[in-house]
Amino acid sequence: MNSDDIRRMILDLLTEICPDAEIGAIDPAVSFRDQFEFDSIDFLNLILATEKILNLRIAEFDYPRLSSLDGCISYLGPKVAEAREAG
Amino acid sequence: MVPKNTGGTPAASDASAHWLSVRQSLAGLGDGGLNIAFEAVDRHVRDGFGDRMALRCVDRRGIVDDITYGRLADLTGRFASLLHSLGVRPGDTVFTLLGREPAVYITALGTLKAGCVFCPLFSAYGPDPIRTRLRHGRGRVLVTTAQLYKRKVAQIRSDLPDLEHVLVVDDPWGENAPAGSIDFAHALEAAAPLSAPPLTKPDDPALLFFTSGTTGAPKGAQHAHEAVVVHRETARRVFGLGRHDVFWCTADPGWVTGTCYGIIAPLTAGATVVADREEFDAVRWYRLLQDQAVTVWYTAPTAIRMLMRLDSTAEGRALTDGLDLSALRLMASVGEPLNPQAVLWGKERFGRPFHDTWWQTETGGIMIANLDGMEIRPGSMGKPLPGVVADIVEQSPVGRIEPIGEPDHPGMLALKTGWPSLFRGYLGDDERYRATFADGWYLTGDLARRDRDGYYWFVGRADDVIKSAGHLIGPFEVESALMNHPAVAEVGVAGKPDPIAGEIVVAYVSLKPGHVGDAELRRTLLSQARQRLGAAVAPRDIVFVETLPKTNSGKILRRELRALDIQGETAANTPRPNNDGSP
Repeated sequence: MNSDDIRRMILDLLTEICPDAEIGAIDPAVSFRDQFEFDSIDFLNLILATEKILNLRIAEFDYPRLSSLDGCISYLGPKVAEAREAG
Repeated sequence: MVPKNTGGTPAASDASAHWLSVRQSLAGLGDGGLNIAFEAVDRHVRDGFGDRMALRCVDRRGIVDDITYGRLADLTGRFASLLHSLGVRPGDTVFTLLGREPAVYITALGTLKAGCVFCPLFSAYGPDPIRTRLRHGRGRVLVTTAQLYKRKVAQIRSDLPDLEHVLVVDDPWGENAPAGSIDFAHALEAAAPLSAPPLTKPDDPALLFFTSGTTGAPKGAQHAHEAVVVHRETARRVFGLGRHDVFWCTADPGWVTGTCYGIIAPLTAGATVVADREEFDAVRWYRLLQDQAVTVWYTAPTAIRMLMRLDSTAEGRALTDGLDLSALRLMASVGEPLNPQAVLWGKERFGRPFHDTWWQTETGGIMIANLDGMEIRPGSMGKPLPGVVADIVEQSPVGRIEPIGEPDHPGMLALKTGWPSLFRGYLGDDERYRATFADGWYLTGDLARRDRDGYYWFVGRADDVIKSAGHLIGPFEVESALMNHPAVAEVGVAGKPDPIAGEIVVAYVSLKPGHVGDAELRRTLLSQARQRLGAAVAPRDIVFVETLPKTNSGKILRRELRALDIQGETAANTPRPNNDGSP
């Protein structure tokens, strides 16, 4: 799973969690919260769904690193690669 | 003047003596006058404490905006005189749609000084709940940000004939400000200091909080200035607050807790109020407790459960182990029952348990609590405070209220009327107001039991309101937002148990013939609901069903909706789509 796959997965999840957001217009460098209606429960739902799809655990301590699209990609990319290597 | 519902029974006489003595400890205004803002701010300046810190607002970067009692007295006085100069009259209602920022404190207290009524709105509301409340409350003034105005108010402005003045707090150059709006900071600077103290009486209307029932529009619970008697007393008795305390109430100012305990109560005690402008973030919260040397912390079960999750990981534990929380002496919770594990976690990790408290919008202040110094029963809401007469009752077929008496037998939690912060009415709805009282009791709508030792335990709600992340959500308002979609035949909305939020809002939808409940319609309905209601109120999930369970008379049985999850198409409390985006 490369960066594009992760980007697509996050955007798809956002489409399900907050379909009112203009997904196509997201600025990847800006936090989701600062661009559209996205509260703590939405954020938690995004994390839980990501964990489930990628079959990995995201430590609560790292949650803030997933607050933007760029953040998700740079955090999840190495995690996914790590999980793949571990077999 | 708003009428006061006095108990008038012998059982209530001890209680009224208690409240009278508390009342005498307040500053008052002479000639029987009483004003919440004077008790919260000006009396401290008068007593020589104007240099002490009243408010510390922390922004996202950790930059702190400090306001002393002296400065707060000046700013709130200017706001009051600004209202007068705008022609806003005592008794008129001033609304806020703001986060935790200095303007909300200045507006709340300045409005009270002007003799007007303060009504906060939750800034996560969408345009529909905002319109309903502003219309019903006949708001003449709204204080908000340019961005919130643009996103949520501009589209409904033509439906708000009473709204004359919009004050915008964050747009000094007026680029995004709506036409005709007033710049908050400039207007405040230009306003004259208030020359005379406020002239309000204890029974004058002061606060308006909207709350939700099962049916119909939200109810506007009205409180009078006399409520400050309970705010002052609970600040002392529940939190032990004094001038050296740093108090952090994490509730949003758009809810009753955020106003009564996020603004009024700690200020009446002369404490320093900490406000975090940011949304919840577990790491940030732990650090804020340490960095601001918070001594008393009042928060909610959803947040506590999120903090517990973080603390259960190695990295989280490393953070919490390294924190210096030596200043923190009391932790308390409100909003929904706090699970026993959370109470004990507090004790294990911080050396002090969480003290659960119970009250409602209508009670105006904390009524039942696990007080500091008494044995805490994890999972219990505690015992009634002095001056509060509570009981577990049932209503006889002829409407008489009978205390149940037998320990641990569930029934309706009822409070003897007569305490000073009991609400004085539902705005424009006497019938609903009267229906909450019987035989000198206020019927809370909460089912509870009392154990042999007098501790109260929450059992459930007698109605269908949903408590999600500490917010009370009325199913009717959510159902209405979905009903006008052309594909929808019927909607029932209910709370579904959730390990973090307590409950999450789920809408059960049956469709008109010819429509298919697929992923696209689910997204369309969710999107519509979120745009109209805001994320905090809208359903988190839609379950399509063939039919909804009903009574013989055709009323939807919301309690039975959860069973429909099994037959529904998207039975999940979190969206768990596949990689291609289809659920």
